[in-house]
Amino acid sequence: MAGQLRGAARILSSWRSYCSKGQQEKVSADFVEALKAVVGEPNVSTAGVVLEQHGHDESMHRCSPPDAVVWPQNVEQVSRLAALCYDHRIPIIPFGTGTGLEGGVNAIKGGICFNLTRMDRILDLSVDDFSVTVEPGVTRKALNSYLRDTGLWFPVDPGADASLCGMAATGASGTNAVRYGTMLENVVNLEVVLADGQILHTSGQGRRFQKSSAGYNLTGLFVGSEGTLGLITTATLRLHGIPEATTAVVCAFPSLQAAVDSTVQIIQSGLPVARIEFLDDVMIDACNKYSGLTNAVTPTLFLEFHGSQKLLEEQVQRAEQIVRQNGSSHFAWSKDPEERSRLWTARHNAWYAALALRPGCKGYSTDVCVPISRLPEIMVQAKKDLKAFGLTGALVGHVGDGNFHCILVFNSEDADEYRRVMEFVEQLGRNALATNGTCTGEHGIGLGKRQLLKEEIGPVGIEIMRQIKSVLDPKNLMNPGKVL
Amino acid sequence: MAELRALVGVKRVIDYAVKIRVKPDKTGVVTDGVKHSMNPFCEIAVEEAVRLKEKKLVKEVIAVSCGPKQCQETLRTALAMGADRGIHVEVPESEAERLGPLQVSRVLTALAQKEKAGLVLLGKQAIDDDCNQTGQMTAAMLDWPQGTFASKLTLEGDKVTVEREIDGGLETIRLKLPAVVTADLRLNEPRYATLPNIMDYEAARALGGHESQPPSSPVCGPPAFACSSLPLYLQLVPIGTRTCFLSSSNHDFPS
Repeated sequence: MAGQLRGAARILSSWRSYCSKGQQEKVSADFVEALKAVVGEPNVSTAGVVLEQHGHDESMHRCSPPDAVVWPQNVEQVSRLAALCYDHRIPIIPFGTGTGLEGGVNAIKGGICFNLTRMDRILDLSVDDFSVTVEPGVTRKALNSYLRDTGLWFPVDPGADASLCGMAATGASGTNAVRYGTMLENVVNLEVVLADGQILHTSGQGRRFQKSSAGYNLTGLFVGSEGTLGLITTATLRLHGIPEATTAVVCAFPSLQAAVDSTVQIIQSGLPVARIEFLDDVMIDACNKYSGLTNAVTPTLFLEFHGSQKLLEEQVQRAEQIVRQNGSSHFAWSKDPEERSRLWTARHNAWYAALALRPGCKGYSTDVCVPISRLPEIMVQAKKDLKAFGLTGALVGHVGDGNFHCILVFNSEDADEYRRVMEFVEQLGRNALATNGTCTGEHGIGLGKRQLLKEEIGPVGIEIMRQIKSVLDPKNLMNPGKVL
Repeated sequence: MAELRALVGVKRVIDYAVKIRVKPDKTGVVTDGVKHSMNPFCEIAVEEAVRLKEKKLVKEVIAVSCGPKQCQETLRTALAMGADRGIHVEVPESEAERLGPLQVSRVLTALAQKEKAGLVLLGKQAIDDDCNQTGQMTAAMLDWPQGTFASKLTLEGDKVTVEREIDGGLETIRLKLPAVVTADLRLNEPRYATLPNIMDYEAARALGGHESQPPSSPVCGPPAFACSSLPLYLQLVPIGTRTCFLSSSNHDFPS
């Protein structure tokens, strides 16, 4: 009897076409009033469209709307709201720009979505100390625009114009990571609101040093925690000097192997390349169509060098030698800022360009990161598997870090194609783990890679992570269902 | 023309990314503690002048800013982008509110003549008042040709070809130098100031120092066509491969 009822419920729930609600509404009208009492009526919403907007990110995971969305304006309000949710056992979902790729904001168990973007101040800029503190509403482009006349910039640049605190939460990285590092290396301090409302400063309040040996590395713990351990309300970042001169280089190769071999050799030769991005022929074609470019449709490397004029000439020369040895036919370089901008915009739009290959379809991006020496074999294998599984996919990535993305474009309504995508993704993940790599270099675990995380870290590691989680979030209210 | 001097006007305005708030007494917008920076169109003008210098078509780029003391920050950015000299025409804060395109064009006219500039490059308009008048007035006062809303600029001998963005599309005109050109958005993408260039300027400031004196007479006197003597005329110059002196002096400008 119970089984029949469950079966009936499954059929009913699959009829709700777009959004799926994990559980019954558990948030009473009284609770919503209590939320309004903290942040003010205009800063709480239970409207259907607003909930839907906050129930998904840029990934293909189904929208799971929260029960309400709140917009706190300062950390005290965040703390009081969190304490309120803690007392009533209601899940808490932090929300920044909603540009994640792993379903990190999907409220699969309902709860309250904390949209932190109304807190958007840039605080404590110290040009002398190369540091700045930002609130969650500040995006990476907004920060760099603010800094433009100081001679400093923040180099971590994932494709989207993401919230910097959100980037800290997912441990983001970008095209510049090969030279400037990822969020992990560039976050010095975090202000975090814990599940019960306590406010934690991970390196001590107001501290902004270049390095420290004091106690356990709490900052590192929260970077990449994807909202499962606390809400990040400010991040203190490490800034870098804007490079004196920049040269962008484009080289076309006859084969994927040649391009990736060149990458490995460039890195191994010690050239301090700032960006080294690979786009395969499918990706180049998509970018050409989407951004109106005219690159040759063949595996291509985009490189960028930063430094003084003299240094650049030398570096470009050495790079040219290496790529020509690997059969590169076309080597073009440009110091012109408009040209360089166009080039990198095309690369940053890769996600949208790939989706545009098959309009109406969803996209899924793999994110494996392997040791450089194993990169050629895994990429060649991925290309073969794409053919074998009959899937539309483009390879693009930060090959300098050993990290590449296979952007799969598929019809989510087609169950068979969906199944093949999932099989391909798991296969690729396992191949990466077999080469001692990781299943996710920069996107995070989110909803879809929890099983791979177990295989990657191993049982002892997973158990330790679970224990840490239960200490910081004993009621499992912080973004439940993600990571672990 | 290797002898050509470019005079570039730069205005300090509230940064474009700031959310403007009206003062509670409704007398204006909140400017205290609000981030200010160089007007984006002025940045484009500076960038164009510096590029011309890099192509060796212009000998010297002189940046000018009119306003209170803080304008020196804007000049510093211009110097860090590659301008050779910065001239700050100081206007006390109490009078700065009344400083408009008419007064600024008088200043630019006088300076263009004094500095023997052959090209005056300005942004097409400022993002705070959106006046879009200074370039045109300056050209009229100097009796020079003007190429406004430039999206492309080519110097050839003693002529400059300007491609202008107009309502109907693009218009190309050729002007005989000396001329006034105002920059539109698509003229170029301005470079960012880099640390080494900023440090050059800071070093000069620490070494030289300069003094300001309170104005001896009002800058913006009776309206219409009288603009009496401008009280202070400061020069800011970075150290290094470019010229290396700081000076200040009082000058009378013709009204």
